[in-house]
Amino acid sequence: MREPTFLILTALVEGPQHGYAILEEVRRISSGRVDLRAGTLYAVLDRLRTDGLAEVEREELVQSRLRRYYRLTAAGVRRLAEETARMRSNAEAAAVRLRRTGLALDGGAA
Amino acid sequence: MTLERRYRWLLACYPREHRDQYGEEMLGVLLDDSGGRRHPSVGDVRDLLHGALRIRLRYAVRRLSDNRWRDAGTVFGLFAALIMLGHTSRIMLINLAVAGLGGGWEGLGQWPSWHPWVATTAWVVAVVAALGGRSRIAAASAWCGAAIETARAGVEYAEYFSVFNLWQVAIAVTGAAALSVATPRPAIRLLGRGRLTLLLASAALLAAGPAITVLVPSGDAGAMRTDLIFTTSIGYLEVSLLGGGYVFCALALVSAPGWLRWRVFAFLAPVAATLVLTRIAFSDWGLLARPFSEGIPVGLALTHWLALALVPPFALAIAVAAVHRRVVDRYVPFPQPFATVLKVHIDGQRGKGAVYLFESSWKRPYSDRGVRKILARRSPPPAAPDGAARRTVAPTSGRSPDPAGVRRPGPRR
Repeated sequence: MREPTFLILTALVEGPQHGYAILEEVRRISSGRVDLRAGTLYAVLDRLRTDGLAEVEREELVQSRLRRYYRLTAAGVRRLAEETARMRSNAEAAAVRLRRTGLALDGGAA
Repeated sequence: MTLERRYRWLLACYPREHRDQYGEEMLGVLLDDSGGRRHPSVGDVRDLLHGALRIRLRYAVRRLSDNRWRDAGTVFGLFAALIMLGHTSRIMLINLAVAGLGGGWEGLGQWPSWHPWVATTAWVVAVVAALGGRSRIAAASAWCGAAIETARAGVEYAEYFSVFNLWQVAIAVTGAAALSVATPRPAIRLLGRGRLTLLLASAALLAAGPAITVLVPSGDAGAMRTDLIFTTSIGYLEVSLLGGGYVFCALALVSAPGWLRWRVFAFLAPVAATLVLTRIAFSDWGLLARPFSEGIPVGLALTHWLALALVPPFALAIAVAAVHRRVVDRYVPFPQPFATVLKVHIDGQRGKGAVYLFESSWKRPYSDRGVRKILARRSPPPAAPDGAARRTVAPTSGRSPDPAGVRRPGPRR
């Protein structure tokens, strides 16, 4: 799973969000490191909907513009949990090896 | 030009289905995220163009993996195998006819070459397997036939610098590729018995036409020759037999259902492109006239090879896009915001007991039938309460879907 997909799924965990709110949430989660933009966001959302990992919760008209709220499906929650466990396991393995060889101390640079 | 307009230009790079689904929503997000800029940022432009490319590729893959393309692959694969069978078995049948007339193989002067027999066997297996829905066997056998055909074309080029019969390689390779993605459904279920009979009759005529002219003396009844199809001078009997084969073949394809017919034609596009390139564009009066030396063709130039490598796949891509555009254009979806407003309106009116939303004359191009279908899909009708009056909700002018045009039932006149 690519990073924007992971962060978008993470942004939807706490409740349904509309497009712009997802952009803001992803920037906040990644502390501004990932500058997600509309093109990538909707390419990922389209894929997530096709794969059944996210769905539209409701639609609203705000200032004559359509606003859709997206939420995670049960499959989306499961997939995010699996991916989180996989990434945690990989991160721990890397940290253990770095500590063992003395190249890094408590997650700091060598 | 406003920022919104500039973003709309960028969004135009996305496929129409994606724009219908997400266009307005994306525009809203882009404007919200613009931070008061007057021009789209470089990052936005790059991201939108990259996104459009990804979505276009995704849609193309999704459409091509559609079962209807795979079904068309079955039919085109069978068609290609039958045409190739007709061509490869032609020499074999002429040999047999000559041997029959001359009292044995001695009449031929020399033993017939082996490759038409092997190629014919490969295409027979491909045809039988495609008819029986054994797509893997059909594909494997067709690839063998295509390899033999490519080798034959290679020898022909090495000996005579001739690419005149390269269309056979094109149809053999396209047919084998089509059978490789084909569904394991027997072709008879897709084509029907009548069309299949026409195709088989066509292959029989294409295969046996020249042999029949050997067996049936037609006298000196004249001959004809054209630039594209009957390129060598042949008698009218043979022209009639081969022409009959082509007509049967065309009838079988033209009478197929639209979704199948257009897809099979798309598979034919690279073959037609190769035929036109090698027989018209490369001829001495064509756009890409090939070099001749003292009336004898010499090797193809780089331009010719590039044209042969690029034009047929490009023709296939254009044909696939045209099929999708044609198929997609038959559905006329509402823009998403309008559909949302309409849904809110429909729900409100249904709550008041309204049933019919639009009226239009049958003479109008956008009938209410399509509209009703869209509405039915978006909003399934609730069970009408017993004894509830059926009210009509309709704009007074037939075509314009004016949500405010609600007609209340008045007293009967």
